[in-house]
Parts: sequence; C-alpha cells; structure tokens
Amino acid sequence: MKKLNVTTALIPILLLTLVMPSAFAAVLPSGDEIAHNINARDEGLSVSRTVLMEMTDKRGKQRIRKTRGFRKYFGDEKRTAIYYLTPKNIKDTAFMTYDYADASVDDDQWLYLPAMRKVRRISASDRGDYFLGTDFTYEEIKQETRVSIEDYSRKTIGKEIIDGHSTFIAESIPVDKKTAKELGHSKVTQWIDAEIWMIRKAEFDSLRGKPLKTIYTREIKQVQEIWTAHLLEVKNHKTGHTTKFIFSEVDYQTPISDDLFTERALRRGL
Amino acid sequence: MTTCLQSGRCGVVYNKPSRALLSVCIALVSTTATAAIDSVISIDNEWAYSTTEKKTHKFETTIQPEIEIDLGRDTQLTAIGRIRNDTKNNIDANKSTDSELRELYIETTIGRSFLTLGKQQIVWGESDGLKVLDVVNPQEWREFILDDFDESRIPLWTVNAEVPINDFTLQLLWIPDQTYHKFAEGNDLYTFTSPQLIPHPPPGIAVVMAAEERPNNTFQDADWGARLSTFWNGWDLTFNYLYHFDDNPVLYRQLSLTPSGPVATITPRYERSHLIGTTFSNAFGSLTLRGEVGYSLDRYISTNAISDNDGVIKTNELAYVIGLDWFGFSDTLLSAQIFQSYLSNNDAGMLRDNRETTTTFLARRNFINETLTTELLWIHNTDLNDGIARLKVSYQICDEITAGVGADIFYGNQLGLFGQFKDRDQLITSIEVHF
Repeated sequence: MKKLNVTTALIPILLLTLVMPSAFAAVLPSGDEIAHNINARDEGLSVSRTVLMEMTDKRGKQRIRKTRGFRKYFGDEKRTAIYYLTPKNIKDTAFMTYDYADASVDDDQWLYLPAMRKVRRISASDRGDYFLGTDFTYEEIKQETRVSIEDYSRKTIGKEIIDGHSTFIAESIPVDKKTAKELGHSKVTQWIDAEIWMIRKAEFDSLRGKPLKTIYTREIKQVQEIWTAHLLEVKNHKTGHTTKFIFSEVDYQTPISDDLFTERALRRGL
Repeated sequence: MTTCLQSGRCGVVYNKPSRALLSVCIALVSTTATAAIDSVISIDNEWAYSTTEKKTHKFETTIQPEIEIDLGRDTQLTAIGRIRNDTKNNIDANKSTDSELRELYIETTIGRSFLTLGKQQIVWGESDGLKVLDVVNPQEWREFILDDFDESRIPLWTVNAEVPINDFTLQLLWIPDQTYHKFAEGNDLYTFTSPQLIPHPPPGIAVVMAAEERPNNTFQDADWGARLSTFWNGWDLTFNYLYHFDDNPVLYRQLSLTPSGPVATITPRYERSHLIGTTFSNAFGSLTLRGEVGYSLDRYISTNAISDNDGVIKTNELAYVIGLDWFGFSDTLLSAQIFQSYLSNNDAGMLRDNRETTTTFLARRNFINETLTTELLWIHNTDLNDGIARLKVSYQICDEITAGVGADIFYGNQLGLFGQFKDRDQLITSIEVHF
C-alpha cells in the first residue's frame, strides 16, 4: 500500500477550503439582490388596515392603541397616514408622511396633536427616534416591510430555516457614521424568506455594537393575492419593552381618497 | 345664558344666531334613526400651592364629558361640557363652581368639502404659547396664560366651511357670536394690575365706569374670516384674513368738570379690526422653521395723556412670531421663538411701547417609551425683563391615568405682563383620569 504523503493529502483540502466560500456564495443572492427583491414585492398601490398596537414594559404593564392606517402611492411618492382611534387620552392623534422617490429629498412629516388642535410639521431626520412610544422607529414605520437601499451596504452570510421557512441571512451596515446615528443602530441582520422575500426576523445592534432589538414578522398570509404580515413584534433588549402591531381589516382594493393624506384630514380625523 | 361682568368684559352669551345654530344641530340629531355613540369623561384635579404666600392657590377639579355621535352619511355630532370646582375660591373670587357647554357642533361633508356648524374652536397660527393669528376665538384670562389654550379659548357659534380648490383649501368662517375676552377682575387671583395694561388716571381725577357698549346686531356685527392653505415645494403655507371685533374693549375716556371736581368717564366699547396674515413652516434636516405674521388695521391703545380727547390712540399693528424646533437629540425637542409687535403710532402717553419683544424657549424630553415627559417652558419679555418659567414632569401611570408635578415661577418688574404676578409663584400637582 502506497503511503499517503501528508502534504499531498492536505492540498485538496486546502483547495477545497479556498474554493468553498466562493462556491457557497455562488448559490446565494447578493445582499443588494435580496434588498431589491424585498422592495419589488407587490404591496399594492394602496392599503387600508386597522392596527392594534400593544406596548408592554418589562414589568408587564401594557398600553394598547387602536389605529387606522392608510398608505397610497402617488406615482413614485408614497404617502402614509395613521389615525389613532383609542385610547381616550390620545384619540384623534394623527401622523402623516410623504416619502419621496428621490432619496436625497427629505421626507415631509406632520403630527396632529388634539390637545393643541394644530398640525405640527416634524423633522424627518430623527428617523431613528421611536414612533409615539413604540419600539419601532419612524424609519421602520415608513418602510413597513421594505428596506432602504441607499442607507446600507449589504452582504449575504448564509441560509437558515426560520419557523419552517427557508431564509437567506443578510447583514446590513449603515453606509457611514452619520447614517448609523440617524438610524440609531450600527448593524442589522435579517432573515429573509427565500420564496416570498419577506423579512421574517431582524436583529439590530446598537451604535456600540450591543444587541438592541429584534423584530419578528409573523402570521404572513395572502390578502387579495398580496403577501401580508398580520403580526409584527419587536423586543427591545436594552429596555425589556416589547411592541406588537396586530393588523386586521387589511384591504388593498377599496379605493382610498387622496384627501385622506392632507393636513385638513389630519385635523378632522376619521 | 349671559355672564356679563360689571366691567363690560363678557363671558358666554347665547344670542339669536347661537340659538339658530343650536336648533340646526338638534334638528339634525333628531332626524337620525340610529347612531353610533362614543363618549369619554376626563377628570382633572390640580392643586397649586403658593410658595410666596405659603397657602393653597387652588384645589380645582374639572370634569369634562365629551360625546360623539356618528349620525351616518359622514356626519358627526360632538358635544363637550365642563364642570369646574375650586374649593379655595381664589382663581375666581366670586364663585367656586362653574359649568358650561363648551362645544356643540355638527361636522359633515358636502362633496369634498367639510362643514362644521355650531359652537367650536378655530385655531390659526403656528406659534406655541403666543398669539398673532390665533385670535378667531376670544380667551378666558381667568388663570392668566397658565391654562392650556385648548381650555382657555372660548368656543364661538360659527359656520366653518373648508373647501378644496385644486391644491388649496379655502376655509370660510361666519361667526355671529358676540362673545369677547373674559378677564379676571376684582379679587380674582390673576386680575391685571399693570399700568401698562390698565389706564390709571392722574391723582385728583375721579373715575366713573359707564355701561359697556357691545355689538348686538347678529348679521351686521358678525365676524368673517377666510384662510387659504396649501403645501408648496415643502412649505406649509396659509394666507389669512379676519374681519372681526377686537376681543379687548377699547376704553374710551371722557373728561368733564363737575362741582365735586374733574371726572374721567370710561366707556368700554368694542371696535372692528381687519387682520391680514400669513403662516409658514418647513423642515430642514433636524430643524423645523415655522412662523406667522399678522397686520392689524384699526387697533386702539389707551393713553394717559390728559390732552388726548378720548383717551385712546388709533394705530395699526404688525406682529410676527418666528420659531425654530430642533430635533437633534433622541426623544428631545428644543424650541425657541421670538415674538415682536410694532405699532404704527408712537404718541406720548400710550400705555404700551410701540415695539414689544418676547422670546420663548421650550425643552421637552420623553423617557420610558413616552410614559415620562419632562418640560421646561421659559417666556421672557425683553423690554421689561419680566417673564415666567414653567417646569413640568408628567408620568403616564396607565392609558387612563396621568400624574404630574410642576412649578410656575414669575419674575420681573410689577409693570410687566408677567412681573405683575411675581408673588404668584406656585408648585402644582395634578392627576388626570380619562374613561
């Protein structure tokens, strides 16, 4: 029997090691491809829905808000309006944003506070701030289940089964420190459904690189042939606070009046 | 119901058009077969303790029931009442309890237009805590400026139509309600004493207050207003016009010589004014710029000059507020405003200077998912170096209950709007319940 030379034996292993990453990467879409697929997913030209917002602090104290939300595309421009229906102390509060296709143009945002009876213009640059006491940021409220292309550099780092669904794991890093500061995090790791391009899970690291929060997207069902998340849950690892958005009465087909996305409508309410 | 005060400064008046509008509201409700009803009752208790006088300023409980009835066909009726009881009788020395129907209005749509009919508040302007264009409704000065404007604004019977025209919205107002500012008086805690506000005759001249002359013709004396608003290139813009009676009575003075000596007869009379104005706001990165400008024709300022025939000077007034809100820190708002008012006339003896400047600074920060809010509001008049600092911490115990503590600190010269209350510093605790 011919003796196996150790060096000779290691060569194929070394070659395999060198080749493997690129071979593995070849079967995975790039981070940017995944991001474009996420954003290409049909979300309808407009949608109306009821959103129950459940906010629970680390001691279990719960606050619940019922809202009615509307989103509509005006060409490439996306307009969103959220009207608070309950509880009594914040009823009639309303939020509206105009999200422009040109990423270099800041969004326009308004908040109607019934106690002041005024619609206030609010800055859109504090997009990493938490939205009205929830654990979702203004940016996440605006993006819904989509992602910002220009804010991150991305890479795909693997595949994993989540809740029985095959997902790609993508790592997104804000393009610069300023963007990271604006967004309020230094890294996002996302698990994206490989079939329907819906983010099923996203883990956020704080600006100091520590676990910040995790968002779970659940109860994904088709409504009028559009894949729709019916439960978004976020756990804030820093505060122990959690927020659930429970969606119901989702409707992509009933026309929504353009007038609903005006200051006048914010003041008047639903 | 009429609650006119001796001084001629009146509170709530139901006149003919008010009754007519009320009848329309009732008729609309009575024709409704079925209606969805939503109601809320808010109970607010405030205890204010004077740090200078070492006594309770007020222990006041306010109950505010509100009901909304969905009448179908995009029509809704809203009624808001208010019952207030102050066990200390300091705020209003004459009565400890008052109750009123604050608002009662029907909202409906006609095509794309909104119509709001009834007793309501109309809020114009972009400024916080200062008023240039927010003068459609008069104000109750019972607690000076310490009440939220939402509470101190006096709702008026109004026909309010909002009509979309292309990219604009035209708001048209008809206000046949002759209700004006309601001031504290006599021994009330916040009665104005500053000679910059109240004319003081020279020694030796007796003063006689004549009966107030107030407008009383429903149609001829109604206020009219229009506002055109639009969103243009990132700017929120409005153009406003109000033809109204100034809510401050003009104190006409007539000097006469009687056997017992010289007498000044003061006759409070309300005068018409035209107000033309504009508002603007836009966001630039972390900054929001907002402002409002108003030009009033035919304002009347009291004068102490004995040589003046009627004791008032007719003038025009230009007033503006520019504000900057900065959202650079998380969950934090820093806001600064400057208010200036210029009179076109500068006669000697006028009670106020022809230029007034007031600045405000607001710092607000939210904690614990917006359940805890801290706030500092500082208002400073640069002409007389007087002002007020207001501190407030509020905590939302649950969705229904919010508790708060705070302090109001006045400072400055007794001549000033704020300085006149410099012995009214107070600590406050509050609890609000909504159910």
